[in-house]
Amino acid sequence: MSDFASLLVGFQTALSTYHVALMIGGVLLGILVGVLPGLGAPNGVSLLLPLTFSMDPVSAIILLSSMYWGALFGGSTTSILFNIPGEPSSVATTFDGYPMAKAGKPTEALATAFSAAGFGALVGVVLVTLLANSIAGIALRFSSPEYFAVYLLAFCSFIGMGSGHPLKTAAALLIGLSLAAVGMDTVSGEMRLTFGYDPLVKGVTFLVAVIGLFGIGEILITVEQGLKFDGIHAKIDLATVFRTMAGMPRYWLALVRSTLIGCWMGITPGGPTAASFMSYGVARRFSRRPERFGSGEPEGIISPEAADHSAGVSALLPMLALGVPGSATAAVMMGGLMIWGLQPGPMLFTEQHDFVWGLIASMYLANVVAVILVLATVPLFSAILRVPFSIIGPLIVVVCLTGAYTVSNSMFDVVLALIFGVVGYVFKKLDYPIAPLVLAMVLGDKAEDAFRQSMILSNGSLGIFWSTAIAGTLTTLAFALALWPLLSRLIGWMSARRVPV
Amino acid sequence: MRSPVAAALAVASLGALGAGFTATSASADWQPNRPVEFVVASGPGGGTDQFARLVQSIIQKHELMAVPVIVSNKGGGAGSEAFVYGKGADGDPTKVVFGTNNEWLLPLVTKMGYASSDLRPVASMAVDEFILWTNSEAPYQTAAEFIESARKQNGGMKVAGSQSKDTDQILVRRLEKATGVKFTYVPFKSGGEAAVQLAGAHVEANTNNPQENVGQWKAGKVRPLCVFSSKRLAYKEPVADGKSWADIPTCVEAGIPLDTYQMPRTVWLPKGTSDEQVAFYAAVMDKVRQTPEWKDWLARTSQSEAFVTGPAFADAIKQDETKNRAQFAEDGWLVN
Amino acid sequence: MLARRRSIELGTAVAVAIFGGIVATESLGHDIGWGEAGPGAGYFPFRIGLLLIAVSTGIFIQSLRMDRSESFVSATELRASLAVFLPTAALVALMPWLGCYVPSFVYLAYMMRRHGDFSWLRSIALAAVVMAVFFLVFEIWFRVPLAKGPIESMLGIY
Repeated sequence: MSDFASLLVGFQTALSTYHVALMIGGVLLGILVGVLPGLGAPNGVSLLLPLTFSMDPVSAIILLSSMYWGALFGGSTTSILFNIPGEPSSVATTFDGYPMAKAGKPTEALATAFSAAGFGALVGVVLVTLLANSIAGIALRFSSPEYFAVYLLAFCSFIGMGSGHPLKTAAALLIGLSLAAVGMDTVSGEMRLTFGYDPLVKGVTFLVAVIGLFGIGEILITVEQGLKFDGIHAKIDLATVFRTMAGMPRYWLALVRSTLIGCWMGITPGGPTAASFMSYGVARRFSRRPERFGSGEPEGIISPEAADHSAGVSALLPMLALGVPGSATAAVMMGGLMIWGLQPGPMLFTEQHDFVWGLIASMYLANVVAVILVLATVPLFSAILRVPFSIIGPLIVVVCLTGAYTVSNSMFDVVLALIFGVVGYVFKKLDYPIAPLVLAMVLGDKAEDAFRQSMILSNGSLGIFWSTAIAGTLTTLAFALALWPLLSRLIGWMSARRVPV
Repeated sequence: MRSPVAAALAVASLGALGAGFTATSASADWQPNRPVEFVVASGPGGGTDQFARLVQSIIQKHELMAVPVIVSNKGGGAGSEAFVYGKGADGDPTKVVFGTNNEWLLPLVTKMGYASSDLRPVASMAVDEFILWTNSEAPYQTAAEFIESARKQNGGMKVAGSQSKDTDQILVRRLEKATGVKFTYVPFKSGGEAAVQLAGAHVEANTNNPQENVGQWKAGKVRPLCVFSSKRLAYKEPVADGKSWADIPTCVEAGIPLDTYQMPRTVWLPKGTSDEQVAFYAAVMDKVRQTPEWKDWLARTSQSEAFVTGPAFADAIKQDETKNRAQFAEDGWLVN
Repeated sequence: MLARRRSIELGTAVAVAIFGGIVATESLGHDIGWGEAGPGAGYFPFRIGLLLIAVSTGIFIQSLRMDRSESFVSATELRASLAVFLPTAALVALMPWLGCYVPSFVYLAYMMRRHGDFSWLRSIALAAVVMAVFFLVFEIWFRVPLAKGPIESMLGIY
């Protein structure tokens, strides 16, 4: 019960007027930077960081983490409304969120996403509370073979279902893997696929590719019907939001499953991006109407959102306990921690007891605050789609290109975004799936690093992927998922044969 | 076998005072009149990032510069992205690049879009130490026992580090040469990851900076064997198991003939900037390193004070480059 | 019908194959073998490149058998797309010289006037307001400097 007592003390800390005000301010700022594609949570965090030097650490982390939660919610908004994911982890939300919004139901789409995300986040916090003291131990058991197995599992659960053209899916996947290889190779220190051209040294930035493939590509397709069409005439009010929320319990299975996937991927350091893709893939595979995925199926929004947020929340504690940040935002927060005089690592939980429990308590409150605020803004954001497309279209283009520039102040990235826009346009019209390309870009080099590190560790023996219980289970599960269509047919065939006998 | 940086440090304690004086008097001639960008040669959260953000916050707090400072991370290509950016900003005195010794080491081992001479050295503000760490469950208590065990395993001993052909791997190569023992080096993305891998006993050792491993040390997961420095660390407060940083023997004491290996925290300006401009920033950095916040940070992260500017710094770079060039040539790493 | 889907399919397959060829060729400069310490730096890229060539050959052969009458894009559709794409390409081409603000302003004003039936005055005013908001949010608020060109430095904005 000592954890429970600590949590209560934490709530006392977090519930002060000052801290609640910080949460509201942080969440609002986070929503803002999350919504603007040119800015991300790291910008917001580094903006606030100097302000926090004069605060005490608990207040500082409450402000920064609240901003982070706000940005996570805000990032889904642009995924749904404009098909532009603000962060890698909200890519999977575009698959069904954008079609639903385009079909005239932006309010429903946003409300579904935020409710699912809020549910995932809160379950994530509860899990974090229960596991706070053992979380570092779990994560320590993960080494390169386990990482590789986690990435393989994410790949297989998403790719294996093959609803599209198999060769084109393979082509998209391979292109994504090639793009992931550009830049410096961690294991050898060599520059790959840069052709001596400086702007390629940092690699092909994921955000730039996504801005082009999704944002600009989508605009080029949309305007084929002309720029003249008006915005969406949808009824936008808070009542629709409440109605959508009231309908959420129907999807309890998807919610629970996705949250479990998310929490698990958050604690094992698979991360929110892998979690959201995997959850989407699993949802589609086990859905009774998989053909409706990709055209605005609510489960297709719920699954990635719940997984993304539960993973994001549950990944925060391993980060503090190990000192290895899972994202750019987390890294800046951790840097802040050190400047405030705290040392991330396993001892943070014993040495800075009040700080950690204050943070955990604030995660409950800040996520509730974030869900309320973000749901309240739904009508406002949905209303953006009412603006005539001749204004919003060019504006999206400018925001996209500016966003591509701000990623690393590189004009080459702006050109690259435009090229990706054309590729996105052609691919979409020719039915090359873009999702595998994006997934391969995110996980490709991580998976390759993990694989090659494992090979160094094992002296080149592939047996290492079955050398521990965790790695072996995950690898086997990954293969089973990849071969699922074959396996299910085999099982069906065997049981069919048995029936007559 | 004193490293040139360390050699420069010996001079620095005398020289810094003088350098600071001349710099201050020269700074009256030039001042930035538009926002200054601190370009960080590492991703967010890394040691170099903390270094730059701390300098930014000190400058802001003590109002050491009249214009706002923006920090931007360019950690691509092991930090080379920042140096390439600095090269592109030729003659622009509002781009200040923050790095380590990677500025002059990277172009030696990888084909880069810049040469070390494309940036002007401003100051080296401190040095970070390297320590040989092992998992606390491991049988060896001293560095000598560790080396003996490694000799028996004949290359089977796995050492984790950050990046490939970077500071950690260079150190492991020197360790191999000094002891005649072979190790298997496993590159990870960051020192933080290397710390976790050692704490989880997936590798046998790492050569992390004190601050990267201190958390795991306090938690009883890892144990320091020796520090790659000519003298013991200065910090005497107990950290873990009743031991302080100062209780860790130097590697020479522990029987490894490898004297000093340190990583300087360096500040640069683009080529084509004037002497006054370099002097202005050197003077600002000199004021920064005298603030309590700076000293506090050094103590917290167990880095050593060492402020070098001007010709002393340039010479130290040249010597270090020559020495590493020879080692890289032997290992077949050299590309330029 | 302006372009046949079949021709574009074939063209894309060829482009993907060329891309694969570039990837495979470049990786020859690295170790493409599987040494003692596992695969070298070029091992995966080399095979990915070769696989891309194989896969796109497959797509090419499948596309040969496609119906020749299916359209990729009609003349009206292409005209509509180009009406957006060409100004956007011009915007991208100008940004390295003139910075982010001025070309974006011109682009926005032009697009609103050309496609939105707004008066010149309203288009320009709207575009100016948008760029002012950009300046406030990026430069002042978040201190994220956007690229600036000669016109800004003439006005003394940096």
